[in-house]
Amino acid sequence: MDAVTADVLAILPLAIPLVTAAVSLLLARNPVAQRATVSVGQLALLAAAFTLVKEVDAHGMLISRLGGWSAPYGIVVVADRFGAGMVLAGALLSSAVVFTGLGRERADRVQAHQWPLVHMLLMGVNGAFLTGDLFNMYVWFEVLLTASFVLLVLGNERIQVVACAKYAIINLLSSASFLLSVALLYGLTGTLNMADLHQVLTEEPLTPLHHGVMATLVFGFGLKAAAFPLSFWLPVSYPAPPAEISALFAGLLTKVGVVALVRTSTLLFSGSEVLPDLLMFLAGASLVVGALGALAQRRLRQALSFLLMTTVGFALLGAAVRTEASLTAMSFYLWTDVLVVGTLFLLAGAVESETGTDDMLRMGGLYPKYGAWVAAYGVTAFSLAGFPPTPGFWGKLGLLKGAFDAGWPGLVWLGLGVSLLVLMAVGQILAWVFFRPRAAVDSNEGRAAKQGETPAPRPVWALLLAALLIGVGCFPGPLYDLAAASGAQLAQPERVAEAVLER
Amino acid sequence: MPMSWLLSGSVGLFAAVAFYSLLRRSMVRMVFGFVMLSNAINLLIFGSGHLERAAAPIVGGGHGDGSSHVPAHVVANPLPQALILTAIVISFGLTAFILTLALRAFWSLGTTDTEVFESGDPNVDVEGTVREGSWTP
Repeated sequence: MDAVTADVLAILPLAIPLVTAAVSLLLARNPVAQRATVSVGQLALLAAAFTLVKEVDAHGMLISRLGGWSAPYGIVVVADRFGAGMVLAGALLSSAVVFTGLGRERADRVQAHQWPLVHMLLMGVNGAFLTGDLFNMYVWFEVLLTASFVLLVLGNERIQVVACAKYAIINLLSSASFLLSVALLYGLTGTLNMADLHQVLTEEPLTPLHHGVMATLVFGFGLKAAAFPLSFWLPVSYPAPPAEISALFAGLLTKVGVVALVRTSTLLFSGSEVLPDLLMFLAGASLVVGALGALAQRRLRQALSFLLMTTVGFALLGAAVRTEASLTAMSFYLWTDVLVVGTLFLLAGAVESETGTDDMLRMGGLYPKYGAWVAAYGVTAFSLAGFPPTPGFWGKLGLLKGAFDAGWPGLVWLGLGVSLLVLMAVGQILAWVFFRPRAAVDSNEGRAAKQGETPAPRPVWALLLAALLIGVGCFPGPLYDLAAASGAQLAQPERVAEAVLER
Repeated sequence: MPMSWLLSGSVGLFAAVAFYSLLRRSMVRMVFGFVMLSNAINLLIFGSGHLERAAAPIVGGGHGDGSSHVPAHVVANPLPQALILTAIVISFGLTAFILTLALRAFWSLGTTDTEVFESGDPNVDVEGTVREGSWTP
């Protein structure tokens, strides 16, 4: 493959959403043309992501030097196996989200502005997954943040305004902390290219000043990833927007923080002795608090938000141990987790609009009527708990085995205990929402309140994603091979750095 | 050297004011805090590029043959300016957004007091007591 193709392929996941967003914004007054544009853009993004993964798997890595500037001086886009896999997972989830939303019989002002924003968000997310420059990563973070702020508040419900205010202030603080670390790292090392930073930071032993910068960086990314002591904003803000949007947020936005922490752990500060302990603390705390929090919730999407925290915890476990085996399992877990969590939130949206309430105690009786929903919920929920044959099982198996082999046997007990709590939480949701007969007292109250709304979209796309997930769970071989190559690449940052810097 | 001290002193002062404002209950003051924090960090980026007395970083060319030559003397580091410019633009956009959001919250809740945000009801505070003289839209 020649250099031009490599350049274009690495840039396409950024360019396609940008063009789609711009064109669909121009077509805001023409719903039919806008829907067509968004669909075409979404399919193009999916195709580009598939091609990117295929080419990256064949060549190891695609590097695009923007403007032709050579590595430490210009900005590079580095599509490694891990990042490309995340882009594909994001493209799959966003396709389900976009087509679910487009299936809605509604073309109002909110919808007209929703699709351009979703694609701006996707551009920011893909940029954060693929960039090889720390300051550039900050810019992509801001792109996705701005889009997510507006998506969160779009519709102007009171709960959305309040949720967005909290989300915005917290995220601005997180970005400020990130930018602070960028400035200090630049002052310490004189470079912002992540490959170059890896070489400079591993040359000499780290000073306390380096560790201070590392702490502010982990604080910024940890807030984004919603790792426990930094996660209070998550259950408040994620249930606020419409269900498709919260599925997109839940599936992708916290993952951006996790990916940034993985890059910090494997590339930037791969020489730090303190970082694994720090990440281990964040992971363990998120696991325990997420599982216990989920058990205590009555509102469906709030309970799912806490369950989302446990998946962040498991992924961080892999980033903390950072042996080749655990990074392999972490890649596999994180890629599939984007789809697992997204599907769960999409199903939750369908359930909420069917029952007309978000209170799980008032739901119930969905089972005989909606057998397919129960099956899809079963696949994704048991994937969170880590039951075979779901993808969550293979990911967790690898993560816990990696932790055991690396000399952290306590984590295995923690992981198993938390999985048991997660099983209780998802079982409780299954019993409340699907199997229990509907409470007679106020069965019509919720429905009456939402009478004026359009009928709920059928969660066809969520069911398709669930089918894909059970397929991956039954035949994990091909994806695990890809994950193994990704783990090997993440475990050898020095080779990535050499390739990026051409040294 | 005195310039560096002045710069780090003002970064510290700005950051202190910023955090004081961010910890206030009013959302408008939080916005001011955010503006101050962005400015503190912009100055920090400026300082981290190593201040020195040096010539402007202009690479001379213009011999008509497309060649250029590296200046013989020490030039200043041009990168921090590019970084700060980007950061200023971003923080400007975000400030505009959260100011609008604060206004929207005021229209919707009748206050920018974040304690009220917690209960979600403009007429009831966190403890559940009804507020005197509530503003209703």
